Amino acid sequence: MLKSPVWRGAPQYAFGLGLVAGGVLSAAGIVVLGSLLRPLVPPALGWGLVAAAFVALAAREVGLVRFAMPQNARLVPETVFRHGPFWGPFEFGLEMGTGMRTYVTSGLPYVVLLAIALLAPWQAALVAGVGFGLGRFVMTSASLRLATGEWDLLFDAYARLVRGLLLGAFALALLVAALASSAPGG
Amino acid sequence: MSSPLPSRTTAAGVVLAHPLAGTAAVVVPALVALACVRSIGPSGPVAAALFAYLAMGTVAGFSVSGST
Repeated sequence: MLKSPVWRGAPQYAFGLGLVAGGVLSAAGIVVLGSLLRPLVPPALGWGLVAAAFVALAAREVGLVRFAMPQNARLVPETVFRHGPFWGPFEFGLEMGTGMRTYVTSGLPYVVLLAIALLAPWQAALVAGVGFGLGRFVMTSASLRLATGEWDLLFDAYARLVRGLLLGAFALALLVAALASSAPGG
Repeated sequence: MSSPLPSRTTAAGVVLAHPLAGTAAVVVPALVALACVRSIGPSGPVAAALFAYLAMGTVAGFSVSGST
């Protein structure tokens, strides 16, 4: 669907805007719901839970363990395009950007969700939502520059290395967030 | 897969088209976060946390690349 020529130009950026809006929307909702749990979970326990989730999901990412995670196992319906060349792609992006309206093929979003719910200040939660949308947009922009299916072939060809880089970058960011929260003024 | 990249494309297109380059694009925020945590002053930890969460979100978003 994303390969259509109609996606290039303004619709592509409307889609990107929708992705970011969806990420922010989800992050805002999660931080509100998480605020109900925070009185019960001290920060040290929260970081312990997030670290444990990361370890478990990283093991799942590299195939050491197998378990299912909840996901909305469906594609965003094409009917969203009835809203025209801007609002159609925007709604499509919005639904994908929430991370809750279609497949979730990696465990890392669940770790972010837990960190936002239990630990993140609201500003940090919102920028995590922005980042989620931007991360998805990088992939979409990249795949548009290749022939149909080539992105998937490339991604599969480098899957091991890419997965390792992503897990390493995520672990580093998680460590920085933990250090920052424990630092004076953090 | 003889030629993974299109023959006619811009430099930015090449950067964005390759999964490794895309991955680098999400690794950079993590490195920025590391730099921020070393910054001096009372706003250092706050900035570091913001960049770290931005990096986490970006990496997580990119990691679900197979789902479009």
